[in-house]
Amino acid sequence: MARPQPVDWLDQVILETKPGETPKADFDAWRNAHPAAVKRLRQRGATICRNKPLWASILRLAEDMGRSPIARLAVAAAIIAGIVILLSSRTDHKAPPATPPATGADRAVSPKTEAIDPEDNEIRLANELFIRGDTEGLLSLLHTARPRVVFTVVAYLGELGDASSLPALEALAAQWQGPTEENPFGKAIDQIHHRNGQDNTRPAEHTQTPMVIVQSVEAPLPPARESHPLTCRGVVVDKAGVPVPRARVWAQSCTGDLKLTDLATYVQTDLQGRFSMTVSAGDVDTSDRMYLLCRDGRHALGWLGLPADRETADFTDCRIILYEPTVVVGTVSDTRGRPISGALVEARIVPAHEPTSAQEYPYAVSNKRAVQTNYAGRFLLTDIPAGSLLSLSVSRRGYSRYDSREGYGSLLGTSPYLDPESHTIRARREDVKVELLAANGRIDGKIIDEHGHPHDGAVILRCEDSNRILAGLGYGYSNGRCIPMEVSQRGVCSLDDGGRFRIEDLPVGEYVVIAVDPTSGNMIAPAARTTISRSQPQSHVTLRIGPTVGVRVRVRRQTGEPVDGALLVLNDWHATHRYTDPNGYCLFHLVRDNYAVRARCWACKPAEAVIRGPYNSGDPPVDIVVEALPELGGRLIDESGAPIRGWVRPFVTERILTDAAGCFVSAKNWENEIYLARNIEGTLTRFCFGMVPIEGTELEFHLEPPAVFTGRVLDYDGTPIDDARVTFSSAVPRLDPDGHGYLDPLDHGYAAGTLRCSLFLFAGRFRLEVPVGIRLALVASRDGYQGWSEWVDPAPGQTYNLGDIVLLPGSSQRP
Amino acid sequence: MAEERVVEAARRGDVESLAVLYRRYYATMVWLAYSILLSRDQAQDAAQQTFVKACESIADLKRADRFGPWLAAICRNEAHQLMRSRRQLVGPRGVEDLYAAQPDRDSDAPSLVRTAVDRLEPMYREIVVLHYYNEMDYRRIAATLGIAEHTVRGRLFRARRRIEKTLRKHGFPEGS
Repeated sequence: MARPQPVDWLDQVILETKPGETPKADFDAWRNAHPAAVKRLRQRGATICRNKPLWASILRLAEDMGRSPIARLAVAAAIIAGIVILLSSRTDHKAPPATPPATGADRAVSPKTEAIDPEDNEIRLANELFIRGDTEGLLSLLHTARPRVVFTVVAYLGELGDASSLPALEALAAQWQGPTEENPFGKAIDQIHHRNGQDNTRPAEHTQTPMVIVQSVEAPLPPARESHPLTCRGVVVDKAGVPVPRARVWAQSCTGDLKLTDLATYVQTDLQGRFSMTVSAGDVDTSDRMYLLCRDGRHALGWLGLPADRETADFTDCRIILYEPTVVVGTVSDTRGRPISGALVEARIVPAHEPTSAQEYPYAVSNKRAVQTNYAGRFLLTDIPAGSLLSLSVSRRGYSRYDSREGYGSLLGTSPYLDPESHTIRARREDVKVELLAANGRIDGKIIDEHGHPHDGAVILRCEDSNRILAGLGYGYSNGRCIPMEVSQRGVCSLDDGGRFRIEDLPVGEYVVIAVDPTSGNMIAPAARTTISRSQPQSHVTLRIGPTVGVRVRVRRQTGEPVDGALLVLNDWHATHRYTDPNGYCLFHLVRDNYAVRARCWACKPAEAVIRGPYNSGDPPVDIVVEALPELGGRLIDESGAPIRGWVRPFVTERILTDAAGCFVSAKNWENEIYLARNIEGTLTRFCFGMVPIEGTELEFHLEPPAVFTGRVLDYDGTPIDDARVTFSSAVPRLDPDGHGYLDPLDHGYAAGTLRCSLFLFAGRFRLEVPVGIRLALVASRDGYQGWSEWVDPAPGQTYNLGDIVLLPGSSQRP
Repeated sequence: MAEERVVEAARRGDVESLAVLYRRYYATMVWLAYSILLSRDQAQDAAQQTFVKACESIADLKRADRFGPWLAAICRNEAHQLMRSRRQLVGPRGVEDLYAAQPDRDSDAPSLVRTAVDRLEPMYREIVVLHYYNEMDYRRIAATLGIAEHTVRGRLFRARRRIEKTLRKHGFPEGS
């Protein structure tokens, strides 16, 4: 019977508020998600089946008896009589010796049970189906048979080797709860694959007895995955099909929780663009994905997903296509044109002309990028392969999420600016406008040799954003290795025949131009600094090649033990990073100059040394001693206890990424150290103390929404100040070596960009998101004015309006 | 009777019978959980967990003809448990607050109606949700919840009257 049609306006308005469509019941998905429940259902059902004749008859009898009082009395009398007889028989005879309870095997071999056990009927049926080679019949029986019979049916299916039974077996194999090597469904699947690999025709006759077949299936099979190395060969070409020589190719695996592991050190392509490498895939799970990655100085990062089937796939014909690097610059603003800072801009990049499946690569490495808008609402995505299809999504608290249509912004050509385009989307409070603009900054220059002649060798020019506004999120630790984050977020170009270069698509900012040898990665000329401004978007620099000297740097612990895999960076230029070898050494080829070299390694304090200009090749190595720190482990959770994927940041080192379970391990600098923890999206954050409140418990950081401070900054005339700096700082209670308490001030001004503690000023107004957890001082300042500060103890998720903040003139401005 | 056979087969461990029941009751359980949680995502979680619990204890089900009410009871428990565990305050939202924050009344009429539905007592809300959102007639609602058909009719009548009263109080344009 259908529901009556709505008769008045109330029915209609209620129907209109229906939240979403009627949910669709996908039993297969539910079954795959809850294999244990289905297993439990079968187990309990099997118990009922065996007991049913007895219990059903008793219940039926009881129901019949219950209807008549006379019958009730008769039953009661019979029960009493039975008890009396039972007691008398026990007292008359010796108790029989205890016997072990009958096992399933005992029941199976008992002739009496065999005659009535329905399992045997099913086994007989399975035998007949097997002899007839009836796979469909066996599959039907597979779904209805009792558990013991199921294993026999599975063995028969494996022996028949019909590939049509694979989906059913794979679904059951996924539900197997026992040890993997004992999975009968997996064994049957392997057997079917094996048979189909030898010959795809089903055997005409099966003369073996079922028992023999069962034994043969249950015998140990060779392991499904052998840990032999894979040999990958292939060629690297550009989009025109021209081989790319001297490109670096390496291999990585990626787990489901985006843990990256190097499978092989890089090799270089030869003059024909060919490469050959041995990949140790033995420890890589079959569910993990493997990739070949490739980079050279003139192209964006290229990658190729390797086939999942490592047994039969061909790895000797890998073709990696490299595209020119391009950039996308944009502005995120609301409908009134006000910039929105701290918005998370995520881009999904799919190189055109390539199958999508092979081009998927994990977050932050290649085809997925995430950057945040700066104080001016601007963002920059670089190192994007030209010709890619780009999808953007922009999210920000207080606004609805913006998702561009798939393939929006096709990047074509070598200078593929996105046309300025605006998209207005519905937001909760106001509309967000995502405006994509082309960056028109440009650095022209040339490289000359020592005699003033244009240099004609191969050189890569890298542009470092010295003020770290658009990118440069610093360093992070993943799998115990320090990684320069956002290393690809820099302009890159190469020389033409006349020794000239042009770095394009640059937004306004200050830049350092570094000339790097493409084969060795060494600097060949002193770095040049230049500025791109709105009024002067073009700049010109000249780099003079100077003689280089090999500088050895050694990183060791206080105990003298060398540090393997320490990250060394010169002057904080990501282009110049190197890792130490197992002996703790690293060799830089540098033009004579003074450099600050900083070493970062796991569970150590970053340490720095200076490379002096007069360094000679024969000089002893520059020694960097790092101080080892104890480790502190914990995890991030939300208020319901669910794990959070994010990072923690002790204030003297770099941020530590958590795994999918929210767990992290950090170097412990001192007792009760303060950490800033944040989830990936930036919606939950908190200052936490790195000390377990109760000994023996796990350290947990409960993240909460940040507090929001709003207000307006005015000068003493009441004129809004648009370029004031509003930030926060804290004073952390600490103990000095003598045990006296003191307040250690910490400035968190740098946090404005990276922590999504956004700040945007318009007519002097600001909005600042502040992590909770400790007492903080809000600070407003501007050159020429006296600073303003106020201590606050914010509560999570609360919004505080500070009203008008009047900055008094500084001493230099006073009349 | 047909459903009782299916339930009986499911009790014996027949997965296909469970699939039949799942397809028959899943949407109802989602909407029933929604009437408590007021969240579609959480309601779907609760509905799926309901069937997990049902698998574990269907063997203990004494009367196959009471499968619907039995499942509904599990679903309610799951929804309440989920609500407690996530500590979410999903009670009625303040109509006045919503109204005050939204000066454009016409454009927010659906929000107002939904809020009025959310403000109903759970006993009435589940009937409204099942009747309007899940498009169930009185007889099916009664069979699913294990209550009399006239009780369903009475609760729905009172629920409608309360919604109407709330809407009129806030000047909802009748007949629009």
